[in-house]
This record gives sequence, structure tokens and C-alpha cells, in this order.
Amino acid sequence: MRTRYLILPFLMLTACVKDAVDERGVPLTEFSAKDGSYFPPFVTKFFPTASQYVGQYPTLEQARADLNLIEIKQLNPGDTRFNEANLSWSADGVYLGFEVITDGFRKIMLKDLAGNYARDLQMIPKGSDNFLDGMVVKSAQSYNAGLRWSRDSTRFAFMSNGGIGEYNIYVGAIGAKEKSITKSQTKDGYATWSPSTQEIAFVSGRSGNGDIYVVELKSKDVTRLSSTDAVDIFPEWFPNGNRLVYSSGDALNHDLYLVERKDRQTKWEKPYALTNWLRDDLRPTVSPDGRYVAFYADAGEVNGGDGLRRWNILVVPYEQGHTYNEAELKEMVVAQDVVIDLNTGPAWSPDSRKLFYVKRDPSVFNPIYGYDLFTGRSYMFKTKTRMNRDILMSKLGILSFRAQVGVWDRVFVALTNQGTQLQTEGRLKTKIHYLKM
Amino acid sequence: MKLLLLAALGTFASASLAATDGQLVYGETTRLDTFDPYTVHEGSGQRLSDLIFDSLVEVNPGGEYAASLAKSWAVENGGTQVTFTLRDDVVWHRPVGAAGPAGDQMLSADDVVSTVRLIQAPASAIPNKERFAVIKSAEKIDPHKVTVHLHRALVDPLRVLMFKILPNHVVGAAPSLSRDSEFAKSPTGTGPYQFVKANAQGEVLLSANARYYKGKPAIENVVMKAYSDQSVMAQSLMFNSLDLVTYVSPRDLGEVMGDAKLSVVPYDALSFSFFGMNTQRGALKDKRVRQAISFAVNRQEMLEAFFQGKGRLISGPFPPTSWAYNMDVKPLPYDVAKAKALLAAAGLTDKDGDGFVETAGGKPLQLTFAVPLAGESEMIKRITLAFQGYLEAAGIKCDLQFMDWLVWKKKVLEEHDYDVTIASWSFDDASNITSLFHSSSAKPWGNNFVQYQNPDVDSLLTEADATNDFDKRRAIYHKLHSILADEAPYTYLWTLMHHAAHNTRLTGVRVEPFAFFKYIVSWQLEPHKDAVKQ
Repeated sequence: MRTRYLILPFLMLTACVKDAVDERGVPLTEFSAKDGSYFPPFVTKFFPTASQYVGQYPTLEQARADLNLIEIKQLNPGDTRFNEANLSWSADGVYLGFEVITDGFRKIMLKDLAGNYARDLQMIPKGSDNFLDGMVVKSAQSYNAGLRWSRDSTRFAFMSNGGIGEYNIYVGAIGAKEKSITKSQTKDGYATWSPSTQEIAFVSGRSGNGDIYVVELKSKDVTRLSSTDAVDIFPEWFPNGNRLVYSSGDALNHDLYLVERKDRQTKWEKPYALTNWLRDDLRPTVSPDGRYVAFYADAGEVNGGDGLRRWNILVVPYEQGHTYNEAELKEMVVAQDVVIDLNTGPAWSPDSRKLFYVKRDPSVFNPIYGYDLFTGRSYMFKTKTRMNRDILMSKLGILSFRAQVGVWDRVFVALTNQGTQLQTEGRLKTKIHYLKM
Repeated sequence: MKLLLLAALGTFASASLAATDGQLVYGETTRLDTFDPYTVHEGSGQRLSDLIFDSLVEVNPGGEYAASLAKSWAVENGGTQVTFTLRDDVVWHRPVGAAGPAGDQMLSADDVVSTVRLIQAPASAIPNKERFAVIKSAEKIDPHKVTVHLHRALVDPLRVLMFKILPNHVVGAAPSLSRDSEFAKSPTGTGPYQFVKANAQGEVLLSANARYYKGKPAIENVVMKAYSDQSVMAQSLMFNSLDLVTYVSPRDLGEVMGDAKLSVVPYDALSFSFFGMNTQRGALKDKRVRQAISFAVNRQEMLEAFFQGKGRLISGPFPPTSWAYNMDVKPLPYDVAKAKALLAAAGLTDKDGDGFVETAGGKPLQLTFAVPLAGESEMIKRITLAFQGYLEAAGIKCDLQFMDWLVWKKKVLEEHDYDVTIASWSFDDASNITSLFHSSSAKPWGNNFVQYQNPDVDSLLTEADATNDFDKRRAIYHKLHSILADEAPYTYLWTLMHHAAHNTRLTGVRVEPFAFFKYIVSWQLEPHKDAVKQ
């Protein structure tokens, strides 16, 4: 599909591919798009149509114009009887993880598009003192979800009950064993890496309800950032690593809150509201440039006619100290009547210009839409997939989502021309990690 | 916002926002605008009414009737009337803030008489009002004795007389029940908990009834909170902000079950789902085509994929837990070859090689599927999408037509302008299917919207309704089950298990599908042990 949108006027054409390793010895390649080469080799290998795209659009300027959906593939073809969900991309767009749901319990599968790496994440305890022993098999006692990658792309964090019925945050790395970094009898979840890679924010019920905490990875020191009687949930870092946004509230009314510090050497300040109105504001996501926060907000009960809530997507610019009130928020709606993703909020494009989401349009079984913040235009992706959900876009411009195939949910990946290497002016070089092909 | 909420909560603000010692906080997925037990139509409202109100009799775990507001009763005149003797120690809740016993209102026969009058008042806005149609009147015998008269003899009349009793001193002068009445906004009952207050955010605060006739509940306060997002509600339970949720979605169930600090309580949904086929339309007049559709659908796969297998396939129009269910009738297997053979026998084969069947005249068989939508309707969309795929595999084209709930009701229930649709029936223990399949109900707005007409079935339904012999009625229903499975006016799908979940510091929890909070008086809430302040 093609959709016209604003074309950036200035373009640096560079070519630079060099082999290197990062501080842990993981192969590192710096890829730069140039005329006739828009995607790293492993992407071209996974998406054969990428080569045709190069032929069709021989210059970088042509290739980056419009919003082009180049090829869609089911990530894991085959006739399996389980649901897949919640694909998560590493920061460089090389590794990915997704959840496999069997018998009500979940494991995480890790892999890379190059096809060099694949493994399962499933914490299964040794011994026989598990709370579900005798009722379900050991593998089914383990529930693992919420994978989030570090900025350096080789480490990840996730939530697991460890197979012992106690949800904690675990960290792991490509080629390394996972270990827990939090310990609480009440749930710890929603782990998200600080851009500095030295801290992880998470939600814990250890204080008697859900509050936001940060754990320092080296020292394992835990700092509580919020302390309301409400449930504080869905934390997301800003790219400077010194600010978090989250949902806070109760029952039918959650607002967004911000908690900030000047730098890593100073203490976190008292949280304050980013939004303040009588609506449910849930699952915020921060634009990659840190300028905007997108989130789901209920549209009230006036437009449904059936007493059921509808949901909109709002985008608010970050302005330090500013709390958006009802009058302001009503002007911030960028998409109406959307299907909310349960784990993540609206998906940002790498250039912070576009949002991707699912419309509640039954006639086409929940299609994927994009919205361009610069032009104010929205457009539908003709993916031919149905019952889409869990939308996310990788740094390399690969849109991921789950969709129903037969009766089962399958993860799909779709190559677009929205990757950082193509779209972001001044950031044409993008470092990526991947194993040798 | 938070400050506004606190201000709005007034005197109970500090107690209502968190799961604290002595206070049970539970989550529901629908906000209530009315709190009386009759005008409310949400499941959450029915559960709340279990806390505030009582009925004359109730059913104990063994299925036997047990005394409640009535300490005894007598079925009279061959089942056309029941005389209840009321307890003389039941006190209506005092208005909030009222001090002392002066002016206390005791339960009396007048309360039963007023209740019967109001639930029969034509202007009373009561959903499913027809369930009270058999009740004729209530007659006060003395202050603690009342006779309820029925229009016809019932072998089990108490079954229709388990309605909640309303206070005559509050509603006695009202001509009817309405959702906007003062009583509906601030109800008075005799139940284990007394209504205190509700706020704009849908939070409802109840306090223990110290004079409850079964004894004061152990838990001092109960707070109901409404959530617009089921997943957030489940997370609120997992993060200790709630003690109990009455429903865990299939998506969240695995995570909740994986938490050792939570207990999951399954309970029967008391309903079944089906694809209804318009038996008076085109090829669907032929039962072989209807049977073929049933064979073409892999119901077990749908149950596993969409509901994580938390339910049971059914072979007929009853939940398997019902006395009416005939266990000898097995659910049809998934068999595409059998489906194609049945279509061929009905003269429907793929004559042009396009993968889809045509009639003898070469006309493609294409069915219209009326899909009702309310809100997101994710599960409905998933199921119908799967159905379309299954039918295509069997060679049948199916056009999915999505329509809002009100449009669907007009199209399907009134005009019968559809081929296939999806719906669910919920049942009380009566399991009466007369209105579903009797030809007299195959009319606009009748429950027999599949327009099934079979004189033999009509006779059996009439015979079952007429008899007071329970064993005979059960035998007839088992026969009906067998016939209706073979005739396939529905593709019978499943009955689901619902799941509640609670923190393990809440003990003694037992729930009943018909009365979720029936045993709350004996529930205990242990103090928080694990809260740490960092």
C-alpha cells in the first residue's frame, strides 16, 4: 500500500558497514541506508520482497517517501495449537520475543530474524515444593510474560512466577542465564529498562497496592517512586532516563502521572499529574524522541449507545510541570473508537511522527491504522490479516502484531519503509546487533 | 482528579480507596446506576442485591429449599398457592445516620404483598419480567403470614418464589419500580450488608448489618468498585488493591492462577451458546444442511483457542449441569467429510470446481450471518470469523453482517431476516425450553427466532409443561434433547465456566452461580501481613 505524507526535504546519503563487537563481544554492525540499500542483510533475507522494493525505488529519497507496506509474513508458520501474543523487539530491531500461551500458562520465545538464535524463557524450579504440584505438570506451573529489552539490545527483563507462584522480575541476556532481580511475595511486574540500561522500573504490590519502583541493577537497591493508595501501573521511561510516566488511579478513573529527577545522582521528586479528568487514562507510551506521550482514554459512555465504553487515543506533548485538564485533553484526541492493546499502549514509529493502532471496525475485523502527527492524517494498513492486536514497530521499521489465523492468534511481522535508517534525518546510521548469517 | 474523587467520597473516602483490614474490596466490570434487585439488569447488580436483600426461601448446597425470611411454608391447593410464615426477628436496615432502635421497621406480610404488587406492575421496568408471570397475587393472612397465589399449579412452586423482598415502608406507596427512584439509588434491605453510599466513580460502600438475623457478618465493610478494563481489574487484584474479583477473563486467568497468593473459584456460567439457524430459509429448511454445519464446526478447537478450554461442549439446549440434559446424547464430532456428505445428500455439491457447493440449479449456497455487536465484542468477532473459515472448508460461503445490538434484535428477533446467528441463553433451574422451540413462539419477538416448527416437539413441550410429575418431565426433556440434537435448529456450542479470584487472606469463600455472595456471612478477612513501606 502507499499513502502520501510529508516528505522530509533534506537527506544525507551515507554508506558505512563495518564489523565490530560491543563491550560484551556481541557482533555489532553499523548499518547506513544508501541509494539501493535500505535494509540490513538479515532483513532482506527474511523479507524477499525487500529486494524488489529496492529495484522499484532506486534512490533513498524515493524509498523513504510515502508509507509503504513492503511485505507481511507470519513469523512462525505451521499448524500449531497455541496462541502467540505480545511480540517485543530489541532496541536495534534484531532480536524479538513473543509469548506462547498453552493451557493458560505462558512462556516466552526468543529468536532473531536472521534465524541464528532461538530459545525459550520459562522459569521452572528445581525440587518439588511448588504450589501447584500434584495439580498441573511442572512446565505448566510457570507463567512468563512482559518481555522488555534493554537499550543495548542483548539484555532483557521479564516477569515470571518462577514456577513457584511468586511473580518477580527476571533479567537475562543473549547467551546468559536468567536470574531474578526482585524478591517479593506479592507481585512484581511491568518491568521496563531505563535507557541508561542500569535500572529497571517495575510495579510492585509489596506496599499493599500497586506502586512504581526502580531497581538499580548493580546494587539491587530498590527505590519506591510512588506512594498513593491508588494502583500505579504501566510505567514507561522517557529517553533521557530521568523521567517516567505511568497510570495511577482506581476503578473507572486512572490519570497519567510523571515522576522525575534531575539526573541519576539526584533523588526522584514527588510525582505529579500529567492528565487530570474523570476518564480512564491507560497504557501510556513515550515517543522515541521523548516529546510526546500517547495513551488510551475512555471516550465516556455517551457514544456507545449500548452502555459499553469506547476508547480513544490521545497524544499530549510533554511540558515540564504542566497538567492537562479536561478542556485541553478533549483537543488531544488523535484516533477514536480504537481497540486497546492490553499490554502496551499505542505504537510509535521510530521517527516519533506516527502512531499505529487498531480500529474497532468489525466490517474489516479490526484493521491496523496509522496516524501522522505532522499532517493529521490517518490511514488504514491493508494487511489482509484479521483481529489484529499488540501493535509495535521496530527500529528498522518492521511492524509486528498478532492476528487470528483459523482460530489461533499468530504473530505477524510486516516490513515497512518507516525504519530509523530510512526516515530519521541526522540519524541515518543505526547500530544493530546480529549474529553472523 | 484524585482530590476531586476524595472530596466526592465524603465521609467514607479514606476507607473506600484501598483494601484495608476489616474491609473487603471487590471488583466488577460494570458500573451500576441502580441498586434495587429488580430494575437492575447487570450481573454485578444481581450480586450486589445478594448482599443487601433476602428472599423468602433459598436453596442449600444440596439443592433443597431452606428457610430464609420465611421460617416455614406450606404448598397448598395442588401447587397453586404457597403460604409462608415469616420470621419475627428480621429488621429492615436503618437509614444511614439513624441512631437507636426507635422507629425500627420489622419484616411483615405487608412487605411481601408490596413486593408482589410491584414486580407485577405493568410500569415496573424489570428485565425478564416474564419470570414472574406465573405469580397471581399475594394475600396477607396475618402480620407474619402471607399466601402467594399462582396462575396455575406448579410441581415446584418455590422455584418461582425466591425473589427478593422489598420494604413496604419505603416502596409501599410507589405505583411501580423504576431505575430512577429514590429507593433504586439508596436501597433498604434486610440482608447481611446495608447500603451506605455510592459515588460518581461507581464505588459502592456497604456496612455490615449488626442485626442480621443470621448474625453479624465477620467483615465490617464491603466496597464494590467498577472497572472499565478487565485486565486492569485483574492486575488490581494481583497488586493487592482488591481482595476479590467476581470474574477473571480467559486472557487473565493463567496469570491469576499462577499467583500463589490468589485462589481461583470456578462457577457455572449457567448459560449455553449456539449458532442459531433460520429453519424456514432456503437450504436451511433441510435438516441435513443444518447437521452438515454442525459437523463442519470444530467446537473443541474454538473452546481451547478462545476460552482456554474452560467450558464443556454440549449436545443440546441445556447446560450439562441441568436435570434436563440427556447425557446419552453426545456432542457431534468435528467431521468435514461427514459435513460434505450431508451436503451432497441434500443436493449441494461443488459443480463448478470453485471449492464451494451449489444447488442442483447451479446457484451457490451463500448464508448470511447476523452478527450482534455490543462494544468491542472481540469474542463474538473471533468466533464468527472462525465459523466462516470452518464453513468455507466445507464448501459453504458465509457472509458476515455485523450490526449493532438493537439492529440485530430487529433483524433477527422481529423480522427473522437472517440465515445464521450467534446467541446465548441463560437459564435458571427451570430449564424450560418451550418458548425456544414451540411453534407458537415462532413469531416476531418470540424466543423461537430460528422458526423451528415440529408438531411432535410441540406436543412433547406441552406435555412437559402440563405435568406435575418431575420424573415424567425429565423423561420428556431427555427425549426432546435427543430430537433437538438430531434436528439441529442450533449448532450447540458450549457452556462456560466462569472464574472468580480472591486474595488468600480472604477465607471461607464459597460462591453459588445463582447467588454469588450467599455465604458471605461466614467469610473471614485476615489482616494484611506482607505490606512493607520502602
